[in-house]
Amino acid sequence: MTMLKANTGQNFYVRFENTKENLALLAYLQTLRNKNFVVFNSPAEVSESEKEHIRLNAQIEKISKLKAGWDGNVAQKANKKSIKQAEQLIAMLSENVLRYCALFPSNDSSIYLQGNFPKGGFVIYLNGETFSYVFKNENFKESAAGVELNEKNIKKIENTISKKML
Amino acid sequence: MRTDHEIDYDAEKVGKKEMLIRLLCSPLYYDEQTRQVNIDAFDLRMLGKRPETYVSIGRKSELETEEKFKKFIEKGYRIWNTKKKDKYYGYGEFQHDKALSISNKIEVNPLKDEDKSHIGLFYIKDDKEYYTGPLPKNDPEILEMLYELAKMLSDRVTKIAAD
Repeated sequence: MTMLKANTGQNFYVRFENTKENLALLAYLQTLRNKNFVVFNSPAEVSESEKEHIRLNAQIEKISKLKAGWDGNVAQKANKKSIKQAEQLIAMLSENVLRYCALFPSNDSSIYLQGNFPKGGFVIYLNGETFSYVFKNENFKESAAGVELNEKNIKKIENTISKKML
Repeated sequence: MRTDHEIDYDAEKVGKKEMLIRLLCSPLYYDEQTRQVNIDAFDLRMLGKRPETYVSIGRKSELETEEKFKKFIEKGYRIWNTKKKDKYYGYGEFQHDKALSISNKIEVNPLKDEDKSHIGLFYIKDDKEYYTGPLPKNDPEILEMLYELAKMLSDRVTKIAAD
């Protein structure tokens, strides 16, 4: 059974492949009356606000499964602390920001979150301890290093993106 | 004078208007939905115990026939890993002076013991030396430089069809 899981901070999603075994399991799950448990028949039924979180969480899952040499050469696999940072960061950002973002592995085991917005872009480098970032557009630039990953700093980043990049 | 034993100082310099190519050896170097190149594509890495001193770049003027271009892509397969051939993504093209305009740390040079099609993108550290891999991405100036290089390539990526 192949499953893709995503924890968006609000909900926990598991995506099942459309196999006979899974259909039987899903049929059983649908009989459960637990109101906290919902079965969607397709990703289209998931709310827009959650879709981007699911997409980015799927990227985290993919990156976390990479083995050393994922680039075809000597890249290190992603370190657990950077993965944790990525999960925390994605959970704190809104879908308005995430829809323009992608997560990438780095050869040195860190993770990048890169954004390509209508009016600019950014890159956030998650090294497992703190993060560094650069925001840029034609008229604006902001950068910092050694930033602590917390709600206050992420809210500040989200505000910057909303005002300068969207 | 800044020197690196891998640079061919006797060879003809790379022209400012020349078109250059960066191979993207893994699908993890490009996100199709947001159309972004992973900035890691321009980082230097550790090759075992030896740190990289340049980013491998192709010189389009030396790859103008289909045969030559195919050999260049094949060389990329050999460098990365022949078994990973099906995971190769594609390549991006850019003009030499566009890369130079991003940062005065960037320098593109011909390489010793390489055919003319293979050149190197070096990063100047100071007047004595070049950076070796990996680059210090905690430094926002380096992060910005890599971001701009990746952005330069992002709208100019060609996917290689799988065999």
